[in-house]
Amino acid sequence: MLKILHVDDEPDIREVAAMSLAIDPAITVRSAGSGEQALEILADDWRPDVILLDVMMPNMDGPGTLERLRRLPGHADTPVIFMTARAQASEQARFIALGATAVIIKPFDPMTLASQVRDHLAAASA
Amino acid sequence: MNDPLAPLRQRFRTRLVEDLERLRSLRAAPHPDQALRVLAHNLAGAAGIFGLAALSRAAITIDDRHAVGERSTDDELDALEAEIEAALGPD
Repeated sequence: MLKILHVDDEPDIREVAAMSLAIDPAITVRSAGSGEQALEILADDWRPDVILLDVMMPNMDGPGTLERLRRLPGHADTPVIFMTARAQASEQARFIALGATAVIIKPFDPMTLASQVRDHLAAASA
Repeated sequence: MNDPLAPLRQRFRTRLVEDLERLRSLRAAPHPDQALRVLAHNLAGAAGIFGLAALSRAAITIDDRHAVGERSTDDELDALEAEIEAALGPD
């Protein structure tokens, strides 16, 4: 079972992502509406195999959340995939340099989100 | 074929009605920049997921503008309004 933590401040996007990922019966998803909530879930000892992290959120944005979650015990290497509407190659390179495993461009295709995540994880571990 | 996203699409449509009202009211407000950016940013992501590509692009244009510290133009805001109206249809 692949455990995914999805973090996005937009409730509609959280719901669509949860439904999209549930297309794959071997995926379980938890959702967080903010970076702070994501850190609480992670500190509570729930260990996802990958974190899907929205870049632009109020208060604590994606890069800020990534920086903090790396300091949590056991999450130094947890794969993080940024999700962003900013498709420019330079922006994507910046996110990878910050320690993201990959970047998924929003809007994502609800029908293929699960396979995109699996593909990125496979590429990262190859 | 059953559309698993149909209930969410319907809810999003309701939200668009509210967003259109909010957009119009923000355009008449004295300092709407930050609120306009939040509205555009949220619309950009959600509209695209529901297949409203033109609306998403209009919102991204405004979000990008604010991201670099600029103000959105009247033309850009007109375009966003028009795309929301188009998404809502003639009802």
